[in-house]
Amino acid sequence: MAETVLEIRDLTKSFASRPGMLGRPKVKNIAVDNVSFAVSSAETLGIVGESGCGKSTLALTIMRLYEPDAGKIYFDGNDITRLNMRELKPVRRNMQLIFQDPLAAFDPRLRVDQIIGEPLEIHGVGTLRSNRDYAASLLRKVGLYAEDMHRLPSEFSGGQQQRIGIARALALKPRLLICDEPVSALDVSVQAQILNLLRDLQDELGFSYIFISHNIAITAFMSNRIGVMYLGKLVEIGETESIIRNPLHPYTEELLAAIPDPDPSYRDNNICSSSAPAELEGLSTGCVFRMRCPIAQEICAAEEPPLRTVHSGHQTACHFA
Amino acid sequence: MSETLLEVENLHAQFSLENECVPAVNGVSFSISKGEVLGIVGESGSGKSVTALSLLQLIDPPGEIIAGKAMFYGEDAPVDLLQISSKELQKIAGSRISMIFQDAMASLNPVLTVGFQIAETLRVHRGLSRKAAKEKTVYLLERVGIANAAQRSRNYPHEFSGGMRQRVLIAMAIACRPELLIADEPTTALDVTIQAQILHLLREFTRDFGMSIILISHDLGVIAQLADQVAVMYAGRIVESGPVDLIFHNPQHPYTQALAASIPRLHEYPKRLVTIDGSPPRAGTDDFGRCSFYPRCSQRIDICAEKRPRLTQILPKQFASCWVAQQGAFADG
Repeated sequence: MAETVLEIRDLTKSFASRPGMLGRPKVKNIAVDNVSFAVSSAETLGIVGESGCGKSTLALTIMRLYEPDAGKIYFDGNDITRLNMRELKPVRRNMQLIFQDPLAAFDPRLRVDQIIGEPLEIHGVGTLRSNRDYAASLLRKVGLYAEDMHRLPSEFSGGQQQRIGIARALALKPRLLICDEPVSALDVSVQAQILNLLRDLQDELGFSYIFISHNIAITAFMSNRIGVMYLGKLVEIGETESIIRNPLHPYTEELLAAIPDPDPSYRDNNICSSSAPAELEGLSTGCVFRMRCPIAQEICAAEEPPLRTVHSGHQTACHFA
Repeated sequence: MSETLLEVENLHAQFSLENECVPAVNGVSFSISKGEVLGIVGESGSGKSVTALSLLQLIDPPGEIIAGKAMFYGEDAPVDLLQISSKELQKIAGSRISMIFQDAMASLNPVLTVGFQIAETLRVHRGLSRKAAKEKTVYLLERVGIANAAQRSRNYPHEFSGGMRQRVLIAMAIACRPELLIADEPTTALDVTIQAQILHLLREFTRDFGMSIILISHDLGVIAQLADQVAVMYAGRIVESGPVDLIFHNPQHPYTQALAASIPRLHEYPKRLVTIDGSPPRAGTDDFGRCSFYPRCSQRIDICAEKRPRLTQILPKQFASCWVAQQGAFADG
């Protein structure tokens, strides 16, 4: 059994909306609701869901960039949920983020070598000179040239910028990389290059990924296991093939059916659910998906289905699975 | 043979900046039949949006149309959309030809109710009375799948979700039963489940009203699901065109082939994806003496660096601008 790098238990994060002008009560928006999973070493866990399902909040909460309301985060077996900033620093070294828009994640005035060198400097690794050589080797690793070190990020194309973002994330040799929509902003012809690169790097360096995307086909290509989120809840999780071939939750089925197949022979296969994502308000009990669910029964309004194991390694939160 | 609705010939558009002219569209020609969906697929900077905007003279300075013809054979006398006066264009735009964009919020007026905005279209173009326009508006909102249409018509754009707003925009676009709908990335900002609903809706309208659609998208999946004919654009030109099944099952241009192979598919688990080296050329950096895809092409031969290939018929109904494909076609006889 591979060792567990990250484990979260019942992680919850909510945001209070500001009270209205007329003194309307504060509403609590639960972005991540009791989510639990574990990620093993050298494994990729994909997280899919639509906008607003809480997948990005989940990433930031795991990194402790948001403070969780409840639940536990274990990294390498240690509880990091309540560590203070000083205690957290050595842990952060081992968890890095790759963002959707790399340009927004860089200081536009820093050169590439400074961007890659900054995390090393913060963590007091190496000397200025050795770090420069190291930055050059990282650039080559992600498919750029050492000569690119002295240029500004804005001088690069979108795909190259994402490569710089990956080089920076790798600089501290992390054990876990969280990628939040890493190819969504890229041209179609460039996406495949970055996806291949991410997989090659994992094969070579053996770290784990949490790969977040709204695109289930891309997530399936990248991941060993996939978790599906809906309105802050993990509604299904399992081995990639099991999720794709044998989805257990009606939402996963809908998500899979909605993907436009790049083959005109399979037209009209996509089903259309009749309603848009439900508002959370008024859904204090029962299944979060029931307003959209084609097979909802009375029990779905009365009782919230727990995430339970249906068969080996495949869990879902549906009364009828 | 079906009737032609729009015929675009040799469209050129460019952006004149302070010290350079950046060509965006370099001689694009295509035609679309009545009731047909033409999918234009391309990456950012390929000129697909500029092509669409040109058809309604919507590119603002420093952008300009420098050559070309776009004959529209609607119910009225044929007109060249690129030449007609703005007064004539106003009669056609929003009525015979309408357009929807990626960002529905930016296309709607935030301080007017959606009902008012749809009714306005009907009153201006169809001369309907206030009451008749209101009734028709409610019908249209129902038609695009908005529940409680009468009540919702009194809401403002911000009170709708992204998918619902796109439906409002579609209701407005089809209000006057246009013969042609130009849809520029209509589902790109939407979630996949909502995207499926909108595509379904658009398909219904082509079937029920015989409306033609120019569908612009970077997503091959969206194109495969809705288009009858496909044009693939690269660096301001159409590099391949033909019926949708041929483009997807037997692509002739190396760019189309590689693009289709590079996207991950659900039921295939390859170890690696096919990639295209490099990135698309930035507008204006293209070398005119050679094929624009030359630097990234895995099948390139000597002539590709010396002479630009023209869009040539390779197979019955299928055209590609590629020396390699042409040689193959002529070698086969």
